[in-house]
Amino acid sequence: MSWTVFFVAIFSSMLINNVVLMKFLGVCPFLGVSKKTGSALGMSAAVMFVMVIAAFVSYLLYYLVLVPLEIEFVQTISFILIIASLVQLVEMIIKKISKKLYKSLGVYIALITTNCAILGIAVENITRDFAGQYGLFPGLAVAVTTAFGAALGFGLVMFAFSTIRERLEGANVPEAWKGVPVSLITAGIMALAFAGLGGIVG
Amino acid sequence: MARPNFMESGDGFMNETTAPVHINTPTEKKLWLWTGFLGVLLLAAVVIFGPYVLFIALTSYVVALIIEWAFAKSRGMKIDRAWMITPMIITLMLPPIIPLWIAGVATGFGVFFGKAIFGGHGRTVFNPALVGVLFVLISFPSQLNTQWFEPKDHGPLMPSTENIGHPDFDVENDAVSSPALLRIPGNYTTGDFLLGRTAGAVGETFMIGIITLGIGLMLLKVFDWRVPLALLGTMVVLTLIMNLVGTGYPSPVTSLLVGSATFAAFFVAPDPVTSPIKSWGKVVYGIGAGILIFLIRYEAAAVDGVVFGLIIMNAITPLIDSWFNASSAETKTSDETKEAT
Repeated sequence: MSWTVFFVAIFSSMLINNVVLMKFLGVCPFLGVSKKTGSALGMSAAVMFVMVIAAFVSYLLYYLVLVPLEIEFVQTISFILIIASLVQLVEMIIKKISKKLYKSLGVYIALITTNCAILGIAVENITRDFAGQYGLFPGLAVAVTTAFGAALGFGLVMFAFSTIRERLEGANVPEAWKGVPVSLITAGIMALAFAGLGGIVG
Repeated sequence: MARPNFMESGDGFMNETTAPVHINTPTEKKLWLWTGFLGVLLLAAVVIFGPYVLFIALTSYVVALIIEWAFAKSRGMKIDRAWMITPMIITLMLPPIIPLWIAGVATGFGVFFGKAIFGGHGRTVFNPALVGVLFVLISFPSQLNTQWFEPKDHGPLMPSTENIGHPDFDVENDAVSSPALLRIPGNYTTGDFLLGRTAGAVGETFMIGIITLGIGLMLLKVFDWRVPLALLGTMVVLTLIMNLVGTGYPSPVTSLLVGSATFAAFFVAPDPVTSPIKSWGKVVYGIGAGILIFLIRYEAAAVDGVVFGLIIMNAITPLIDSWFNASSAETKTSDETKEAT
């Protein structure tokens, strides 16, 4: 296993298999918190924190607990439990560090619990069988790198999308298309363009 | 990615100020110059590919005008002053034997979803013409990627005698597909490329015209020279490097002569509405577009990267602007609010 594996993992999960634009996961915060650049970045940072740790913990839980006990079928519910408790942790940390960020993220911090992007990446790390391909612990490194890349991709798209939305806010959009509709159209066009990146690596 | 500390940037996001629009529209005279120069390329295409391309242009203009008129009517506004540019670019970026209904769909999607619902010219996030072409590129890949023809072998096509809206052309047997053209350009001489006697989209083959008219537009200050230079320069450098370390890449000059990269670099990418405001922003935009076009064209599954690459760069143009602090009005508003509170 060479270092290129990590490079490919970051690049492909960040741009080519972008969580929002190619897998359509995590669309709720993508639309909900992207009105202001500041909250978009805060949300991305929170997602990155939870996503990387969730990937780490869920991977270990699956291979060290669920597989030996042969109870892989509780995978989904145990992953959700882990993510939910991690979100509580992040919420406490943010509350302690920045009251303003806490206020502005508001309900969305709690929503990370049900952010399908995080569960999606945790589950996909298992289904892509990194452990089988690279061995248990190198596979863990690849899984965490993939999660990190996915979070970077999420952040990049959130950031770009929030700057677009700030620009759209003053635009002379027809009444019927104001707000979410025009944002969804924008996101759709971005997703069409990202489809062109398909097939570059992996 | 330079990632500002989210705790520090937390200051500005609570205030509910409306971010202003960046209106960066060319004047009406510049719009007409732009369209007129593209019109010259269309006339050249009539000579190269035959009068059928005029039907494509006509369809595009009819569809575009109907949608522009409907929006203007329903919103009680005047018809958008940039109505002439989008259908022209769309015509020039489609294959010369495209079925007319696809040209109509491309224009319809581009003008409706790329332009009208964003509030018309000057407010668009993506270049509307690119949005239209992207939509048909994804929706009808067989017509867009495999049905090109060699003007060298078949000469200008005449409209068919039975059906005036169709080219007199046997798609089954005589069409060539574009991946081969982009990677291993056939037995074309440089003269063929310069005179446009190569397979390609309506407006993208006539290199002498594209280069002289493109430089002319820059001399007339319709466009900034930085975007085309950065874009084409990046592509040359990348193909040069890849020629040294790998095989299967065309020479740097050929990579500019095939496909729509040169056409788009001169006539689509520098569109002032959808490219960054500041000079360095334009350079970053051009380099980014060059890298993406190169990557998508030679490494990805898609055939040519121009449309995808430019739309992705359009999407991050507001981001580039905010990096270079170009949305000055926005910073001003939030600063004022900060002082007020």
